[in-house]
Amino acid sequence: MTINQQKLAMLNITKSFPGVDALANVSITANSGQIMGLVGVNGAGKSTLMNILGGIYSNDSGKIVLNNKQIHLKSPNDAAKNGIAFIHQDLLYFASQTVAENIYMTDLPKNNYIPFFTSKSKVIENAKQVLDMLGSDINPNSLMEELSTGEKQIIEIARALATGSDIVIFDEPTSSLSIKEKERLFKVVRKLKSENKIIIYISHFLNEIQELCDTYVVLRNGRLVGNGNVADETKNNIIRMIIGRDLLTSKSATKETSNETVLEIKNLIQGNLLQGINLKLNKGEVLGLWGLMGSGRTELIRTALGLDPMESGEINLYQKGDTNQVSPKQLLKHCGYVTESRRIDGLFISEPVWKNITSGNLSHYSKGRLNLIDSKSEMQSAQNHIKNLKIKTPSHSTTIENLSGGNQQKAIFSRWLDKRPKILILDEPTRGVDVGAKQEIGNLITKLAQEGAAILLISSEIEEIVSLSNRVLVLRDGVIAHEALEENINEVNLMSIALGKEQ
Amino acid sequence: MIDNIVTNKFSFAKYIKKLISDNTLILPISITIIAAVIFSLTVPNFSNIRNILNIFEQLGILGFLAVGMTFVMIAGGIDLSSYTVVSASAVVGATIMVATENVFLGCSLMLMVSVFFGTINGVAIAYLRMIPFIVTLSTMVLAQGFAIWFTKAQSIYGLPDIFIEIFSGRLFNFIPVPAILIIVVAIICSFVLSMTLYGRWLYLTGENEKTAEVSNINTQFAKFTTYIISGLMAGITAIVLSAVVETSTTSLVRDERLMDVIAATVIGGASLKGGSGSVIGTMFGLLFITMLGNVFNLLGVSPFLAMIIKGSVLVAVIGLDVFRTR
Repeated sequence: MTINQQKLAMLNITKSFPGVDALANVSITANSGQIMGLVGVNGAGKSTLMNILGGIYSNDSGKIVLNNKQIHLKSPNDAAKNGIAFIHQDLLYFASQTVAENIYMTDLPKNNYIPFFTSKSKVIENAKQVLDMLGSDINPNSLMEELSTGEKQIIEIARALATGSDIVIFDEPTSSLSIKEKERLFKVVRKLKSENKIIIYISHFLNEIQELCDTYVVLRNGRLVGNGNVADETKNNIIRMIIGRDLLTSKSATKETSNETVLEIKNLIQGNLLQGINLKLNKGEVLGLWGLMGSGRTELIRTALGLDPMESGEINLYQKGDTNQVSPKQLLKHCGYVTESRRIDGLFISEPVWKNITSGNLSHYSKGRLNLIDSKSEMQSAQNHIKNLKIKTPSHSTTIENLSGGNQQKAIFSRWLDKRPKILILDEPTRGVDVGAKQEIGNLITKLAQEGAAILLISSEIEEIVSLSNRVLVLRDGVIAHEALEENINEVNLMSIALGKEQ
Repeated sequence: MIDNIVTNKFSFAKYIKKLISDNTLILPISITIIAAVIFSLTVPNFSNIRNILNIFEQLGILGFLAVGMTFVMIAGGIDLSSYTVVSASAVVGATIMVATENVFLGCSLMLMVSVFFGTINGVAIAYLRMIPFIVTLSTMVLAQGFAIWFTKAQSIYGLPDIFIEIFSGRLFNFIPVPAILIIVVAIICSFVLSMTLYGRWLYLTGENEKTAEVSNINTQFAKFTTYIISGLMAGITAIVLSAVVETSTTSLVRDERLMDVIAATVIGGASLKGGSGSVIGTMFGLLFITMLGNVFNLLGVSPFLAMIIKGSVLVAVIGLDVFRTR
């Protein structure tokens, strides 16, 4: 095969949404055989730029040039025709179909003997070839739903390869992968690079960019603020470009916590995943709950809060010296809960920002025997929260769908700040949130604990657990395997316990 | 407010879409006014007082069902059963009313039977988590079957004169009582939806049940009560309709009226996905649908052709819902 050098350029791209200039005059070029890292905070315009390249949005002005020829991308179909594959953060697949069929879904090979039929053996053979090319040993016969998230992602990449894509866009591909899966993904991405593809890699994690990418592009507020070779730039410089100021060293958790227990969960059992969980949460502390993907972190919370059924277990709530055994549903009334996935159970996506903020504390705003709701004071306190947490929104009555991920997350935080519960449960509070907002949220968590809230923090980012927690519980094999305190809260220790290598 | 549109290219389709998704009342009100103007200019007798009062009387009768449907759809469900529940509760109440000459007892029974059916729907959907479409389709058949079985398919005559006079009369010999009743009910319901905590619960539950649950909203209670309200509205319809037609039968409300009710509610801004809708919008939607039926009558359009046209309107309206919420 002759080496065929390809070049993609997006020139002077501009795009506006109601109330927001998402992109202003952004130009980037990418070459084949190189991995380009695209970084920036949420709302910086990364996704918008890539959605234009993927044919999902149309640009207001500017042009896209592939190999010196202007191309027009009016739909995802146009993008596919031009060899552009977009690996989305939320994977799209047919769960009950086989791996091979998923790879060749749009282009199933014809049967040689029976017209209109497809050839099952040929699909599997072809799929095997593609998977081999990616260095993956996934069985093409297994059903899609049997695969792990990381494996599903590889299938999506295989599909891009099978359809002959030359340009592959990854949108935050590692956000829900385990460490092992991440390494496997990187191998595949490097393989694509050696196949001379153009690769654009969106990520929040600078470590990944440094490890994987050849060039970088930094966007901030819809503008291009920096680009170059990754090797030529230090991490701190790139961070400075991303947030437009120096990163403050993140304050670690408060040292002093009381020993006043607020919540105790005893012997909670649910299915195979949770086999007798015991934990105590104290006033004024951040309790980190750490475990690998699939260790049952989220399930534990959902069960304890009555959102999933509980097989057995006991929940004790300590208030003003009294001990009350409560049901999970009653516990929910005393808690604020920032959920793992905003879109599924965190937002009222087509409601205005203010209704999203006050929805957790509605009884506070309703008065009299008729429970009349006082929208004026709702909007007033929503405006205060928007100001205090610096939520970037044109107005409190903007539909929350139009906000960036980080700002949506801040709005969800203000929902619980409005209620001021004694117990706050935070499940991946900074998932899909940019560096700047991440730091703000981290500081907020520390501050809330200092003010006396009991916080249970779940995160798959070990740095976050380490920097914010006073105490860390490691969940493994359905039980709390370990409790780490003070100097034992470090990445090496926690990771080795989670993986089962106990000292 | 800074809600200005900052797009360089002006797109008419986008503008219309923004208009009807931002302010759900614009569409039902404008479509009704435009239709009213066109009809009064082109259709003979449309704008004479008697016909207009006639339209409002019909509006009053279907209005209760449409209000009930609005509650159910805001909280994310649908109620296909309410129109047969009308017959089921009417025949029970009417039978007892004729036998005892007790108007109050008869009316109460009508309300009780309809609330009973609402309870079945509510428990099955909210607490047993069954699918609204299937559950209410089943109770629709159930209520119809019950009504026919109960009456042996006979109409019930001889309702007390006082009952007929109260509910089918005209205030000051002019305004139909059903129209007054529906106005009162609509005002109360509109108030409940827009001004009370309960109303907010319904919208948030319909918008995203999971988020509502996490936000400590009792979503099961919210959904359950919408079916009770829908049932109650069917009971009121049973009372009014029995009085207006001076008899109770097993098919007080014809099948295609269900379509009218759903179409009116969706035109009025409710989404089949839940989370939106308003009583005022529904009332305008219903006014539009009623005028359409009335015009077909005045012009002597074949009822079958009318069904074809109304069916098409419903499909178009559901298409509009998809367009609006996408």
